Amino acid sequence: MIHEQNIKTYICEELAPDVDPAALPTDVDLLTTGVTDSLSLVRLIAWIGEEYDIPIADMEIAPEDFSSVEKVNAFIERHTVSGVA
Amino acid sequence: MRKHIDSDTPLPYLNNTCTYKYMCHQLTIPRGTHMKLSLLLTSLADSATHYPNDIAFLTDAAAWSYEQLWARVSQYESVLAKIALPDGVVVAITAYKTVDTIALMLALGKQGHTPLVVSPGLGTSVKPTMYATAGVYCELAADSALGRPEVSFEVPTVLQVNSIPSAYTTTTSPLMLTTSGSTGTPKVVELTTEGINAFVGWGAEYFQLTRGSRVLSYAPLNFDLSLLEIWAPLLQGATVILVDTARATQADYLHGLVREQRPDLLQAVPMFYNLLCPEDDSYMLSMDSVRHVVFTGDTMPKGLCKRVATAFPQATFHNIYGCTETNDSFVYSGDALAIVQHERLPLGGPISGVHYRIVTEEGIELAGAGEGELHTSTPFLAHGYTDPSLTASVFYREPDGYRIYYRTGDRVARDEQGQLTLLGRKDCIVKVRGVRTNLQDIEQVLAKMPIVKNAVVIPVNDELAGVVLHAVIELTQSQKLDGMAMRLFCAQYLPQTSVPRRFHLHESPLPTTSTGKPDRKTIALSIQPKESEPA
Repeated sequence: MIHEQNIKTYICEELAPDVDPAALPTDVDLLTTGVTDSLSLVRLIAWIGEEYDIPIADMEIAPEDFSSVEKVNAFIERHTVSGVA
Repeated sequence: MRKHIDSDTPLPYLNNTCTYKYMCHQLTIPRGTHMKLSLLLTSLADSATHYPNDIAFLTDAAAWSYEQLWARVSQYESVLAKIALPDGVVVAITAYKTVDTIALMLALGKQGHTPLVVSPGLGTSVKPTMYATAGVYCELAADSALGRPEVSFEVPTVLQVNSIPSAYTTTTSPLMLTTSGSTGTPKVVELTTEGINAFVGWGAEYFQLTRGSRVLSYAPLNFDLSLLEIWAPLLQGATVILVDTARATQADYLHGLVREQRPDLLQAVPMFYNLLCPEDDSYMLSMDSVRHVVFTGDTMPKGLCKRVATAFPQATFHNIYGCTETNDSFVYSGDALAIVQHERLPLGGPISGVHYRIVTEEGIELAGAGEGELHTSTPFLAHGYTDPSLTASVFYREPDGYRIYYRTGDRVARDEQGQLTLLGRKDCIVKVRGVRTNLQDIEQVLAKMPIVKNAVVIPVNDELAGVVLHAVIELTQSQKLDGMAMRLFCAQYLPQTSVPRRFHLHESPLPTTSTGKPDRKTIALSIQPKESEPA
């Protein structure tokens, strides 16, 4: 996953400072484990839009796309040229 | 300004006029019509006369016979006579856990005054309000470091004009205690003579206290637990083993004390049993002298119950529920086999003479199974607080006007069989994104993790989220661990809104109150987010 480390770093620095990026599994549900909640999900999506230059404001968003690190990574890859920002 | 008065200080009336009180004192006649704690005092006098050499108190330094105790009470009466207190005043006593303090309390009761027993650690910022509300005349502390009884005497600043008390209250209450203050400023509770007599009578009968019984006293003197640990045994001519407050958290000391002094009744909060029966089995010697083990003040974790059951194979175990305002009201009793079978010890049944109601949030009394706030009416019920408005807020007369109930602030559940379980404090319920969330439920889930020694969940106000839950964890051992493991564990047992959003992991002990409970205020202050941090 190209963006895994970047996503983990953002989540662990900004949303869940008590979590070590190395200990954050890529497939774990971020919502049920309290790593994100409905409010911090908005922050995460805003960061993705800004960091990867994705026009988030104009898109249909499904919260399911942001429920784990690997799904966030997949979302970014789908919406960026060659999957690279 | 503190003055020191001892038994050698000249009596003020020696060569002048003499008060009735002083005459009574000289003649060693208690002023019967005004005497407080009279049942206890009569019993003590009886023990001192008929069994003078029986031991009343065992301290680390000395054994006090009933005769010596009674003599010490008389000496403190002499000291008090020189202060010439007005009739029936409230006197704050600093609750150093010594025989001298107890003798001073008894001397005050004998002279018709009311001791208000306050923690030595009571903050100076709290005292003025508390003393003004209680109408305290003066503050005394007992000592006999020089071999003779001495009291330090101080008039609360808030109540004095030119060092003379200007406003004070007289009361019929024989003893005043304070609440713990865990939910705000401590409140002064006025006990009644009838309530104390009924309680010590119940305690003596339920725990089979007789002359020759030995009771360990662990709780601070200012706690209502002292009624069972000190006053009930003294009433029966039994022996009280006083735990040295300074060493009350030293496992070696406590274990040696129980092994050598062989008490037959223990009453304490879970912290005490944790010290006595640690997880590493280092003290797992069977302590077979103990006949009754009383759990009180907090929920006993299942693992600890098992260790205690192993350590006291001969004992009957009692899980007691009560509060300062009502004293004990529910008890569950069982043997070692019985207590280890429960995931959470039940509240048990109401003590003889206790009535209770479970009231829903809508103010409707539950007729059958369900959850709600526990309201109790006990034979030991206090008169109320010294602040009438506080009394009116939690004490009420039942609709038919007969019994007075106290709103405990505790939530309980009653099942189809009528079994009661304590769910936690009413004020431990918060709303997280609109969902009612019990902080203690989360703490209990966290406590199931072997690496968690203590867990406290604190609701933190957040501008956007409303309330954000922070979990503060004390780990059992040093190990590299982050919040992810905690989150994964919580997610197995808790709904999404109950999983804390921040975890603070510590290897050092969490701050505790004097009873060993987590000091939630201090913990909450320690985790307040700094402006630069996300909540």
